[in-house]
Amino acid sequence: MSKQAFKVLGKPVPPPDSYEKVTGTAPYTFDMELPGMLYAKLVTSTEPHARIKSIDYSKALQVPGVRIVATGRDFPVRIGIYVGDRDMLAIEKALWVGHPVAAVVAESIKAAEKAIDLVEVEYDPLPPVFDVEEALKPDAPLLHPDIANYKISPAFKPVPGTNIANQFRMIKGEGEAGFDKADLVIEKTFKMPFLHHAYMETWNTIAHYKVTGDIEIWTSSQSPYAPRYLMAMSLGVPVGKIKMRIPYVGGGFGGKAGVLIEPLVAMLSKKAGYKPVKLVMSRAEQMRSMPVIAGYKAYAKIGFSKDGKIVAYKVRFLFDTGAFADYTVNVARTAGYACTGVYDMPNVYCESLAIYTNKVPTTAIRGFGYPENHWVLERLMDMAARELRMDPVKIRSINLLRPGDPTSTTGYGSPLRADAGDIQGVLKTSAELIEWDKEPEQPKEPWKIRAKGIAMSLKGPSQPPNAVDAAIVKFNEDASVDILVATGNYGQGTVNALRMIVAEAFDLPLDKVHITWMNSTEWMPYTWQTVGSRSTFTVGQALLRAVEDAKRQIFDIASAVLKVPADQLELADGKVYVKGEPWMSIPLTEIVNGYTFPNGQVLGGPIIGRGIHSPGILSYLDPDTGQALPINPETGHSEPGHATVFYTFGSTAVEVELDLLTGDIKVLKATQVYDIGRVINPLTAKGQAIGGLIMGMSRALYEELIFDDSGGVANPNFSFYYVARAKDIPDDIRIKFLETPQADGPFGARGFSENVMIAVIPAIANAIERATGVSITELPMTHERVWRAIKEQRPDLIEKALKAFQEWKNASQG
Amino acid sequence: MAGRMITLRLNGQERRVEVEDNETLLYVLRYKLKEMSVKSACWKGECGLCTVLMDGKPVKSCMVLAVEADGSDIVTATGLVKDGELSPIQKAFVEHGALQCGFCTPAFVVAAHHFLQKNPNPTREQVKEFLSGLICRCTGYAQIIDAIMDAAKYYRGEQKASP
Amino acid sequence: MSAPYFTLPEFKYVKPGSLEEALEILDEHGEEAKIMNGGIGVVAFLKERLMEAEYIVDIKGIPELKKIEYIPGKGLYVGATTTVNELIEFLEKSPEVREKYRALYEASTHLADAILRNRATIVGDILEGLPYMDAPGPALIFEAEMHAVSKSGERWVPVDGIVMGPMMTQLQPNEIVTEIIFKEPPEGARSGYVKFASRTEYGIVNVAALVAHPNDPGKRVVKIAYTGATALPYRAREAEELFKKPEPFGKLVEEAVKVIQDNVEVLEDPYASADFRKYLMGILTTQLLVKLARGEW
Repeated sequence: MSKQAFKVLGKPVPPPDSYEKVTGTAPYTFDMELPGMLYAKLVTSTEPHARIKSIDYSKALQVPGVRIVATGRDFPVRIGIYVGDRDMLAIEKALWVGHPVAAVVAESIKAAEKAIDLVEVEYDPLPPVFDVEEALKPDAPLLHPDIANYKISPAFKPVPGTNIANQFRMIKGEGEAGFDKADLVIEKTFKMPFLHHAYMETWNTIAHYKVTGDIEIWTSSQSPYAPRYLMAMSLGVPVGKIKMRIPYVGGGFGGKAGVLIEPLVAMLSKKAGYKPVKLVMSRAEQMRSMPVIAGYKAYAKIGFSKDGKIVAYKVRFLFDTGAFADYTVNVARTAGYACTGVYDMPNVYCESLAIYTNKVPTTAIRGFGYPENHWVLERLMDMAARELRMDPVKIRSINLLRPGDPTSTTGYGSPLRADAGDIQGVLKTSAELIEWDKEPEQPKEPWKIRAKGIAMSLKGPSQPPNAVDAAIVKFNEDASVDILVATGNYGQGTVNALRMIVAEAFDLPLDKVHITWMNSTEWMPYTWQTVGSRSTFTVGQALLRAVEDAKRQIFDIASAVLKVPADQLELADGKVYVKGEPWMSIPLTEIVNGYTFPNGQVLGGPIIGRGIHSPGILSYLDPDTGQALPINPETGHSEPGHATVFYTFGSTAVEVELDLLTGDIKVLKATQVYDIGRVINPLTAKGQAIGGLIMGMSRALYEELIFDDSGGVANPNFSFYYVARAKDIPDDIRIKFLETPQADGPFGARGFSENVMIAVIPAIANAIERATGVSITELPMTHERVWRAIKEQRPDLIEKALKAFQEWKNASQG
Repeated sequence: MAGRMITLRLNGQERRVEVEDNETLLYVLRYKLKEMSVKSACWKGECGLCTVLMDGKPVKSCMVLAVEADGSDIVTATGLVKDGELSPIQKAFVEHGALQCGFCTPAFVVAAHHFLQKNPNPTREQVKEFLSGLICRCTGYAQIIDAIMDAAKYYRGEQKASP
Repeated sequence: MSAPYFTLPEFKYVKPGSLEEALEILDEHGEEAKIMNGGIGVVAFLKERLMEAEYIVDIKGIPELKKIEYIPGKGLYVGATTTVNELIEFLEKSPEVREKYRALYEASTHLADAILRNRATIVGDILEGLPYMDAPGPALIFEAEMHAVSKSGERWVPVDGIVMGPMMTQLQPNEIVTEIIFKEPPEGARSGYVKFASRTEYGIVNVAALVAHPNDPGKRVVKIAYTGATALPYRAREAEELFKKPEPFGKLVEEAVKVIQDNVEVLEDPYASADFRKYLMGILTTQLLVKLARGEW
């Protein structure tokens, strides 16, 4: 590891917006109001699957203050980032309980809420389907019979005439035939429930459709460009007419990626007479009517040789996308192509289907297919360790990918980069941090057990191969720098990290590098999206190129003034110096707007640097083999295509206490290790690692959307959809970052803010497996689920615990 | 429905505002008094992001009627700033990285301020228990707890708040 | 709990300054008037459109309803508008009273959360009538009674049986509960409370229990009550009776658990099956009773 001396990088720097946030003065879309603004509210379906016979809103229109009511007939458009299956208001058919069927626009939220109760919808019920396997049957009711006519991204392959929104397959080596060589085969079925992102600021958007045809939007979205483009495509509006503005955003976690409700609110604004309209989701609407996180059922089979090497792996994911698959097709596809996790496997057959059902639709999520596939694979590793009587660290270690080797997860034949990170070091450090070889101290109650569990993870950004980014740096008169990037700032610390990168690259003090809170397509250059842990890596590179570009312009001017070739100049401390002759210098302030000679003549003009990131090495994966399509040499790349621009390796280890009597699991200790290439800001890096840990723990132990008999979400609130609170977190949390730099990462950095929640989930179950031999395969690990699993798989343990409990009780009679 | 006039002190300033009986304090603070530091994420008393100090005690303003606040003293996170200076608890949040998206932060800050005033010698357990009526989805709480434990020294008077 | 509304339906808010005035309003408007106390239940029910009201009668302006008083030999009086945090503070300042009413203290510190407890009241928690409230259990084991006053008179109503379901009580629409008494526990009694929550904010099984003289069959008293597991607060009277028998305490605990599990009708919902709730009642009750008997709680 190189120990470069940095002036800015590696220091704990609070993001400058922290000051606004702690005082409550940071403006979110939720806080914004425009003159003459109207309020919208949705009417939602009470039927899981039905033809809409009629919508009578005459009474609603009579509520004082109500301006208009709109239905799917007003905007019969479909939209979506990968599969354009989403309607804004139900088009002819309602597809789940909660499906928006109409929208009321009124002068006050009170009037709108009164009016929605007066909209009468008549339904003609159709048979619904709630289960993925039912939905695959030939006679299953079809949710999207017209899917062949939808706009579909080239990487995806729906199957018309079925409920399959996408089908992806990856085959490596001999595929399933590889099991012939296995000494041990384990087959298990895994489940993950539907989840809610639980970002604190719900979806909300203000749209002003102007008489000029310009559309101004303020929205709580992760990024401005993708929703703008998707909106323009679906509404048939010129993209440049849409100004997408994003102020502070109250959390995203993938749930505000792609397009949200912007097209709907824009069209409501137009229909309401070109007035600005705001639509804010209540929590119940957010959880019942807006996209959540897909659940799945997975059939998995893994084969090992006697000595613990993986010889074959087969997995079939059946992702339940709910009524719209939109973004989820790529979650499912990613779970598929990255199904082999951090391991080297000679033979792989993996299939991942995205399947429609009459439930709440789904979208992207932090981790994007990786928490999903790691829950299967990292659990299987521990089951195998138990069967083979191997240490879980050992069995992982001998199967880990080796940088430089070909893998199934990086496209056919394309090697894992040699500088991808110290994967063995991550595992080793993780084991050290949790003191793997030290037996945990056992509690005095004999019915409680303490145990340690470990899991590994990898994560790369799941972006389309043509996702590109641009960045601009421009100088102010005082030689301070403004950074212009369209990177979303919803708490990840990325924009602050980018600021630190630029300060370091220009050798400027941090307070000379400015970022702004308002992100907009009007003045920020193009960024595909802020998702997938990609922005520090991709936009960071674009910014470094922008810095180089600016420096070139600066040196050109200085070279003319100092009469020294440009390559002999350097920039430091706000001055341009001649290398080796520091007394020959010009302050930057005298260059940034052109150099003015004593006679008043000016040389050059304002310095504006521009840079891009273009991931030329990526190509589409063949949906039938999972292998990357061959690369065009015109891109300057020659190796086979890759699936992602980087992978980051990580590991979580935990110590848990299990109460055999009640199924209660307490996480007492947790450690997180990631090789992130370069720690740009230890303060916010630590924040991501802890935040991800607790989100993962919450998903492992508590979170599940529960459906009622009609497929509606039965717990759309935080009383019954429980997310971790302060009282639930372990006191002993240890975080460690390794820094094996990646050559093309900015200062070596890789992204990691999704990875931090992936291994947490299996690590907890692995601790239970290790302590009891009980295999938990379904989430969340509620008390009852754990208790039943122990009762079924190890009744002797429960009996022993009950006996000990009896003895403890009877001791009082002594 | 006829409104009625109420008077309250908001962050030290007397404010008169016409409210209707069925308006919550949250609604009036945000939409009539324009105190946008008071957020909401559930509108049902679960998330706690609408927490304000009412007569010195934290309450979830979505569960309080505005008329009930007539004559009361209301303090929000904005009100903890004195002469443009962050209060010690706010500084501690910044320094410890106790916030990410920031949407829950004003509520945590104002609740923590009250908590430390009442209990400047807390245990970590007590802080965790107290915070459990508030939801933060980003941070995982640990750095929030660190910030509160650290800021306690100012409330004990061991250290003067300094810029 | 899935209504989409931000706003409340229309009603008139009235805040009487005296009990007489309040009773007058209730008498005049009957069912159309709903009493608001800490407001947690009322505002939530209104927002969910589970309650309609012409008048919301805020009783927090009635001075005598705010009260905490312990009278030795009689019990602990808690006013209707006394908040849970006020009760907690009182008990923390009076360790002797707190030890007498340990189960009430523990239930109070588990009730809702530290912020809501600045508004929530014990009386309100009980009268809300949802299955998983925290205050009813301790109320049952301390034989609590509520003082209900109307224009036509006053009465003490036992908490056991006062609730019939969510927002449904035995009280008349014109009655106001002014206070609740938690009766003096038997001499030598220890009590405790267990809230067992499983992926909800509420308990799937909550146990309140009291034990006095566990090893002296002549003087032994045991009281056990549940919420969360059952639709209504449940006092396990049959099981309590068993402890009058001369057998050893531990053996009786086993019998009592069996009687409870055989007799009780438990809830089944997506958060816990009936089987699991019953099983947990056994484990948690045994733990609590044995620890109380040993002085380990």
